[in-house]
Amino acid sequence: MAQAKTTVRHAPPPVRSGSRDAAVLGASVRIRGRISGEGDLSILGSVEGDVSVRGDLTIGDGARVASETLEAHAVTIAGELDGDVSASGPVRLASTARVHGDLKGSEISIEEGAQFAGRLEADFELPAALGKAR
Amino acid sequence: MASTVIGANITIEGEVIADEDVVVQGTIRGKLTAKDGVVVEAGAVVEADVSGGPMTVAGQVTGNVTSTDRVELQSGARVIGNVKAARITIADGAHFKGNVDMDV
Repeated sequence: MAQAKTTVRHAPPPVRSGSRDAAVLGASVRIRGRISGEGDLSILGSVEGDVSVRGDLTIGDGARVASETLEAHAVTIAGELDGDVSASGPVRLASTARVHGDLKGSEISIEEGAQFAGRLEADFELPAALGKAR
Repeated sequence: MASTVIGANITIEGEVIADEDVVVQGTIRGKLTAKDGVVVEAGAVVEADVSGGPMTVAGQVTGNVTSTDRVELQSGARVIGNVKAARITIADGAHFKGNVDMDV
């Protein structure tokens, strides 16, 4: 049998499901500082500092984020957040979310079980009946 | 499998502490401390002191590198800083400026 001439010294890198743009900060990761970027970001650990991404942001169950401002497109929160969210897309609080801060987005949904203290700001048109009442 | 990936378009300015493997494809400025392996992929920019377990560098690192295990500078890597590790390999084509301390 012919054998490949090159010897592999190291195991091949693990196949990652996400694209090269995606960033995942694992559960044991703690970051103090500013995170910015173009791609998507998933936070499963602990972040203290501002986050600004162009893509989608996910704060996973068990994650803790404390930041002044959090900017992203779509934002999904299943963990703990202390800070304001400014999203260009929808904001979703999953049932395990605990959020203290203001939420701004194109749409905002809060699942049953989520804890939230803060203001909501979403651009939508009031139904005509409500509009007249004002 | 690495559970922390700092993607190609992500920049972190500050301190990163991880108890698990870290793969850097983007930019870190500040400090990176890992308990386990660190991979700085080609195209990544790390302007930070890096410490951790086994390290593989194919990208750019400006700062001191400290490993409890081995450091591998692959071809195309660009490292400016001191490297302290029990074992080190510098591949043909890697750029390196700094001191090596193998603790002998």
